[in-house]
Amino acid sequence: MDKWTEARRSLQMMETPGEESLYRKIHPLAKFLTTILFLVLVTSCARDHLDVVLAMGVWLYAYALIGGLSAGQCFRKMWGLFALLFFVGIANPILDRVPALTVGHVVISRGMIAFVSLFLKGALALLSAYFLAVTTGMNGILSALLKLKVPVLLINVIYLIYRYLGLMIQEASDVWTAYRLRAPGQKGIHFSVWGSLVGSMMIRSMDKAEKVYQSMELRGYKPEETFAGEEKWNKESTVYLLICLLSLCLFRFLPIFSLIGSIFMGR
Amino acid sequence: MDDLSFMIEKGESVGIIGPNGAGKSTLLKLMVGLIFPQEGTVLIDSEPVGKKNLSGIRQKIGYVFQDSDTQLFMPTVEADVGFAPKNYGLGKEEVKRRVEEALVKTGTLDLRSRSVLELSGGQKKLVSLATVLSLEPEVLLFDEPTIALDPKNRRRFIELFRELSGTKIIVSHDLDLILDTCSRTILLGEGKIVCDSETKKILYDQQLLEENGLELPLMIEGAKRRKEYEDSVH
Repeated sequence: MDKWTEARRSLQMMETPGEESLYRKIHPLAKFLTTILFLVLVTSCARDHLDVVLAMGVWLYAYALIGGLSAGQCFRKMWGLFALLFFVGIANPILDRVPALTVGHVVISRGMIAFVSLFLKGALALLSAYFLAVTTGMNGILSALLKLKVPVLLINVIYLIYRYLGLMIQEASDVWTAYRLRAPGQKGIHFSVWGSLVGSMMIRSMDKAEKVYQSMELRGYKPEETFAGEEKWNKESTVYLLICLLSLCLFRFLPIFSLIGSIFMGR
Repeated sequence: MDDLSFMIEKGESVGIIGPNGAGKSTLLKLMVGLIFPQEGTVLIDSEPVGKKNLSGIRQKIGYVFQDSDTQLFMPTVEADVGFAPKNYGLGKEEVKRRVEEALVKTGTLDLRSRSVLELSGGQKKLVSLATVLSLEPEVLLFDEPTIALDPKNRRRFIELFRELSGTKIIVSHDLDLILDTCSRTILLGEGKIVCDSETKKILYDQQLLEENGLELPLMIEGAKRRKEYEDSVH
């Protein structure tokens, strides 16, 4: 399988949410709300509160473990994004060298802690979004948004962007193949043709996107009905939501590591 | 398109032919309300196609696109075939029944859980047809249905086409297909009707076809050449 097909398949994983996950019976709205809460709590952690960020990481790890979700798969699929995260806070250790703590003989600066904290916060946010995608699927997420009374126009835009991403990948693959066949021995695409290639790819994608939209329209696509969702709120969803809310607040607002430490140290 | 007026009876199979740019695909788009005429009306079941009744009209008319890749956008065959019935608010059981029936009709039941990315060109065309059949439309529109099909799949498509009930309209450059499947043909040229008659009458008329940028169907041309050869031998 070439990388383009693999990319399209990765995108399509959002259409077939994991049947094997323990969370499959949970209502999409419950999973969506949990993820939003997690994101809010993680991003609200102060940058020097590494212990709180780590505690949130433990929560997410436990969540994945219980639900049979694989974080490794996420790293494999989105390594590019994780690499990008690395550069987000890279200036911190350089600019802020004030010592914060000493581990053995190693002095760790405040900037270093901020850098690690930023990276972890980003990584956790990405992971939680990934877990939501694989357990809920695009239709589930959009049906949750619809239930939260998000404007239909916005839901439509999200869905179409998602649909067109697949088309863009397909077009990029075709353009790349056509280029490669007429430019043997070249590594990558020569910068002199970048403009025209990207331009033609965009125009072709737009043309195809229009046709796909027409096909959807002809088959009765209306966000209000397409994402109305057949799932009913059940007891499991209530329990899930309550447990998640409670545990998330505990991990975020209680000094979990100190508490565990004091239990083991008997203090 | 200008001064275009014709009527298609229930149950008819009509071929629409013409050179590139004659307005064939535009005509199909007008029928399903993807575009609207600046003047005049398109009537489906005596009902004018307008923005208000589009949903009902589109439930009656199935449109099979020229490019199956743009018609199939869901991850699996089953999801794609079930897309329209679900959108029209049919119950879970009914959707399931319709999906199964459409897949059985097109002989693609074994592909139901396959990803649309894994399908061959011929399979994609059949699944495209199934996505439309699941709505049980009264009228079927086909835009170049045999394009990119190999001879075997083309034959399969023709057999399937013949089995389908209801009104069928094909737009195609494949004149052999039209000759094989349609009793009536409309020849378009520069957005106007050049001729609307029995298929054989149009497709056997070499002069008419050539005047309108077309050629005799291959099977007629072949038969003619064969006769010439046999005459020269004897």
